[in-house]
Formats: sequence, C-alpha cells, structure tokens
Amino acid sequence: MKHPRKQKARTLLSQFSSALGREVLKVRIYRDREAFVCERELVERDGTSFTMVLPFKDPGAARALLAADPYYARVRGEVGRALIKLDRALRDSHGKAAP
Amino acid sequence: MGKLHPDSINSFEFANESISWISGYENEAAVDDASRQIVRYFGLEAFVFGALFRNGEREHYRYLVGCKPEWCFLYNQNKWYAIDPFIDYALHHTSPVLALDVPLASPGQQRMMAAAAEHGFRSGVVVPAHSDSSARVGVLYLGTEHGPTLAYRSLVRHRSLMRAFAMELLEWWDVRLRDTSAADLELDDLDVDLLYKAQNHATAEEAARELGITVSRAESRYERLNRKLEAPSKKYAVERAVELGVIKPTS
Repeated sequence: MKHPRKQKARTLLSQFSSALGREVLKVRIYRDREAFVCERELVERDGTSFTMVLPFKDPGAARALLAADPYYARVRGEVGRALIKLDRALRDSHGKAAP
Repeated sequence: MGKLHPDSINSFEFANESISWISGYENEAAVDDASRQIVRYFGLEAFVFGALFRNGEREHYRYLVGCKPEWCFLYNQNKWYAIDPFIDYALHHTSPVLALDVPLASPGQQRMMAAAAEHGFRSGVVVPAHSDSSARVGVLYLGTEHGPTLAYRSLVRHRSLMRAFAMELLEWWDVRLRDTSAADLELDDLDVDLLYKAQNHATAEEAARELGITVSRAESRYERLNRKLEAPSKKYAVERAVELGVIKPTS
C-alpha cells in the first residue's frame, strides 16, 4: 500500500463558501505549526480565481482581516460562524496541550 | 522551521543568505517574516508576491500579501488584475524595473496606480520571475510610500538580490502549493500517477494496465479523484490538479 505523498502539516480550522451573485467567495483558515494562514479566494463565473494568502500569528488578526473585506456586510454570518469555529479549534488544541 | 533571523538584515551577504533560506521555510508565516526583513533591507516597506497561472481560458492569481490587506481587497474588488500593467510586463520580461518606467495605457491603469499610491505603493520596483520548473509566472511588487528616487536607488543597489528573491519566492510557492494540495486532498502516489495518465488521455483500462492495477481499482480511484477535486469528469479533475500544482501542465 502506498502512503500519502506528504504528512499533513497544516490543519484546516475553519472555512466557508458563499455565492455572491456571479462570484463565489471562499475563505479557509489553517493552522500550520505555530502560525496561521487565511486564504481568501474569489472565484468568478468564468472560473478565474483570485486568492489572497495572509499569514497571521494572532488569531485576533483574522477577525480584523475578515471585517475589512469589502464583502463583509454580505457574509457577516458566515464570518462569525467561521471565527467561532476558529476559537473553538484553538481552545480544543490548547486543552489537549495542557497537562 | 528555517533559520532564525535577527531583528534586521544589515549586509549584502546576510541578505543573500536570508534569500537562500526561503526554500527551507515550512509555512507562509515564516516566508512572510523573512520577506519583510529582506524588503526592509532593500530600504522599502511593502511587498506583494503574485503567482499567475493560466489554464486554458481561466486565470488564477495567488498573492502573498506583505502590505496592507486593504490594498489587495481593493485591487481584487476592482478586478485590476485584468489590466495590471505590471502583470503584462512580467509576462513579457525578466528584468526588474522601476514601476514608474512601465507605461500606463489606460485611465483604468492610472486609477489603479493612484489607489496604489494611497496604500503604500507610491513608488516601487516590479520584479518578474520565470522558472522552467514552474507553470506559474511570478511578479514581485516592492513598494514604498516615498517618491521614486528611493525606489530607483534601491533598484540600482539591490537589483541582483531582488531577482534572486523573486525566484526563491516563486519556487517556494510552487513546492508549497503542490505539497499542501496533495496533503489537504489526501492524495497518494497512485492518485498522482493516475492523474498523469488521464492527462495523457489514457483510458482507465490503459492506465490500469500501465500501472499494474486492476481496472476496477483504477475506475474507483478516478471516481474518488473526481469527488476530491470537485470535478465532473477526469478531464476537469486533471485541470483542477494542474491548477492546484498537484501535477505539472503538459508542455
């Protein structure tokens, strides 16, 4: 049996996808070792995609970042749920790390 | 994690070494940290590194943001990537250039540059990156809130390092994209081999024979690949895999 090509180093903590008219906004937040990265992808109807990759160390930065998104008003609910999941994942990982 | 950096880079040798370390970094945050220090050594303040990939008629832009995110939101919202004169420059050139020396051909480009000036890119340097090993074209934007004299001096002084920096970022990005995509999708070597066979227009039967597996196993793997890559068929699965960097495009 063959093994996966790479060990999974990063963990998907939170994500959402939201249709905005002719476009789809996808947000994924990963934890990778001690750091985080937010990938914010906007996919147009013709398949053209634009992905911003924003590393951050303080989880609070994700909130500020997503709140600055011009589509924030339209995806406020999804952002809120994604951030709750992010907080929960962080709490769980801290809990597991505790002695 | 790669090497640890001191607070600042203060010599050509150390800058050169710092650039060579990029390939060893394990995540975007580490590359971002190192890149900010390298950009400061250049005497500049902000950067964006973009990797452009064309797959048929579709285009994919992926940006590592080393500046105010508001600028990238604005750039994306206005779809300025469709008219960005620096992308066009990077597609056709290899030399670093002062942003000021790239001609603006439309009012839209002038609006884009006016907005850039308000977001940390009043002047700057554009560094294309091309690599035989990459299907992507890289474009590194180095910016400053100061006037073009500073950017000009930085370009004259650090031209060769800027080229090396852009190349390292492009190659790091390629490897990172391939590894994370394969890992996120939990693809193994057989999946990748099957994708390459499909890319070469092999049927499931042909792929199975050439890879020494049963036809039913090849077919079930292709079905699973379609699901994982959210593709309606093998053809689209191959396109998606190329886009994600899991397999290389046909040359």
